[in-house]
Amino acid sequence: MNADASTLLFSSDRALIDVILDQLIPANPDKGIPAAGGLGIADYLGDVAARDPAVAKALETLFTGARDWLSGSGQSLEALALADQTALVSWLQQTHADHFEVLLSNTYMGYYSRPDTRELLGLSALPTQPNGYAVPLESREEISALTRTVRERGPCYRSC
Amino acid sequence: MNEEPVDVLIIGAGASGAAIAWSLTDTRMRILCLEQGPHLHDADFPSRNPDYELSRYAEFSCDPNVRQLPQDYPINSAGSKITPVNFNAVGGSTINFLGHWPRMRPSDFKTRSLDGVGTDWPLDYATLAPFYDINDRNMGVSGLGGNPAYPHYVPPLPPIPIGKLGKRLAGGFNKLGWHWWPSDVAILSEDYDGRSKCVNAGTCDLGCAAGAKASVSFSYWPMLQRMGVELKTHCRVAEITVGDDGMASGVLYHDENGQVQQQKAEIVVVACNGVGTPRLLLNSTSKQFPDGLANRSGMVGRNLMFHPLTGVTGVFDEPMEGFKGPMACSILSQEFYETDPTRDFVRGYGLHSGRYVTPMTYALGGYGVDNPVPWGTEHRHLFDNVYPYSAGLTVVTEDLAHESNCVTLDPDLTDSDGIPAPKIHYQVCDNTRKMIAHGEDRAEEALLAAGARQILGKGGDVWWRAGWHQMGTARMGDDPEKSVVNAWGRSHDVKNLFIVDGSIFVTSGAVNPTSTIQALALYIGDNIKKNIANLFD
Repeated sequence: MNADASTLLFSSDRALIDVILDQLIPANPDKGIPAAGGLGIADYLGDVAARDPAVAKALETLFTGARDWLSGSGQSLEALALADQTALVSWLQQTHADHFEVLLSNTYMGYYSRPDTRELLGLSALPTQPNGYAVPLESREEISALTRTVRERGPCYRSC
Repeated sequence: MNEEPVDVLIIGAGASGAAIAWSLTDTRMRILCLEQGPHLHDADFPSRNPDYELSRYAEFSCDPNVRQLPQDYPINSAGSKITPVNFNAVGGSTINFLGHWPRMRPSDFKTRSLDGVGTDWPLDYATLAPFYDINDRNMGVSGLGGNPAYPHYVPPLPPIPIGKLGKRLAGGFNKLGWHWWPSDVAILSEDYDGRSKCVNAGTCDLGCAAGAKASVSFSYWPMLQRMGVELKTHCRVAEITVGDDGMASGVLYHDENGQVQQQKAEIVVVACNGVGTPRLLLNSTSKQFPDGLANRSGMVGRNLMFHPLTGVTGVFDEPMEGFKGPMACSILSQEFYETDPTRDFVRGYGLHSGRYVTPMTYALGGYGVDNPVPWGTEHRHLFDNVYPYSAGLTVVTEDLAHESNCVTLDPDLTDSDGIPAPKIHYQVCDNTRKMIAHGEDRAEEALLAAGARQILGKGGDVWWRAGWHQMGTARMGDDPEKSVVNAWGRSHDVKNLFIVDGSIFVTSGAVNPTSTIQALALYIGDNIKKNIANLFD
């Protein structure tokens, strides 16, 4: 699949793909954490697919399967209950295990590499260099107190 | 094309190649180092980019079979329980190592005499101790002096923070009365030698853009280049050539355009790590050495040792902030390091407390593991209730040498220059499996003592992508029938050929090997200087 075809697939099936992605990484509204589909991870997958034919093939196979499953169910995407959405993703995992793993790994990578996601999980949104994180250095007294029992046992190596 | 001959040709610009180059600079010999990778600078490291973590699964993966960069060679590890990992650039695998810096212990050099297993080294801890000290100063090592697990020494810099997670686990070890100590690390706790101290970014495995972690590209190489050591990058050595006198005459290498070049040298030093070195020697066949250079003993490639690892995770009641700080270097317990006759295995292991992985690495199964966490409601549960509260202990076991664990040449697989690639044959032995099981139980005990409310991860297999420590494949020894190099790294068969990397280890210990690799390289350099008048006798 070339880049244009990938873009076409991802735009025409966007709603279906978002439903699947929302199942993979659900939201936590209490913490303001969005689901993967809602965060636009489909765009990331489209970019990866455009660069990597193996990923494109895996995703195309999966999404074709998802369309077929939906037609077979006789329901519209809009009418699909949450339990049926879960059933759809479970079916994809069972019937296309290798392709599903490609989808799952790339979804995780797209989602958790985002600065805004990192920040929601307590990490810095900024690149880690040069800012890093503040970690207080233990005082000499604190380390001395912590290691006291170890030091009091004395040497614990074999002389030879 | 013939290049002008040099006095010393070093193959590989990583940990050991840099250390021996430094040792030999005061001889005023002309020293040239050939490196197959590039010389990366701070802007080349991904940790300055917003999506830096994606690099861990692409061009900065520790696995050459994932990276597939032009300077990488493929490794066939289909027959192995562990796949070797590395990095090919100036700095070698110190580019993406984690900087954990324990020394080997005195007993590691005498396992046959003490425990009836393995082979004694032809040197001992006391002989290496001064070279550990020199190297610690050159690298900029931080740690707390007085560790009762070793003869006394004091690292040149004070320790880095052990952090909230380290303190919590230390409390658990203290409750049990077990040994632990803040980790020695090749990471700066203070500004040192023109390098800035660590900012706790936690991206050690992606290269430290600030140079706080002592990749030798930031520690040794600036010194070496000031001292006049020549460095050529993108030069992949295909074979070491031999003259009619049976001495090494130089090398044939592929330059960055793939053209074959010849470089002659009086002394050849191999510093290509425990897989790259046997690969090069086995590829260097000649009339005199039909089974590979320096291989009359048949030991080249044999006795491959890793450190089989597994991890146990505890889930605590408060966030452990494991992503803050260097990845691997908080505290280390060596309570179970030595042989105890009441156990069903010999030798021992360490319990290493790293910090913890980032959300992306956690989601993908953890460091060194390809096993994504579940999707759906279980995924939400893990990220809301488990990941932030997790702290782990890694069981790092000593690996006994077995000749059947080995590096050979793959009959079909080659690198991009057509040079045969290495093939790994490696199985985890019964002794290690028993050690892993024992270590998992003790790790659980320590985590519970530290207050963990739940234990995860027990009963897993050894980690797959964890072959950092590659040792034993050109072992040193006094007997030319059973070893490849002598007690100071000189080939028994080729008197002007030296090997200085982890392949010359006789036993593996249960600690990260780079401090010992570099101490050995400095020791070998010192012996070359002492024996310079009669070096080839």
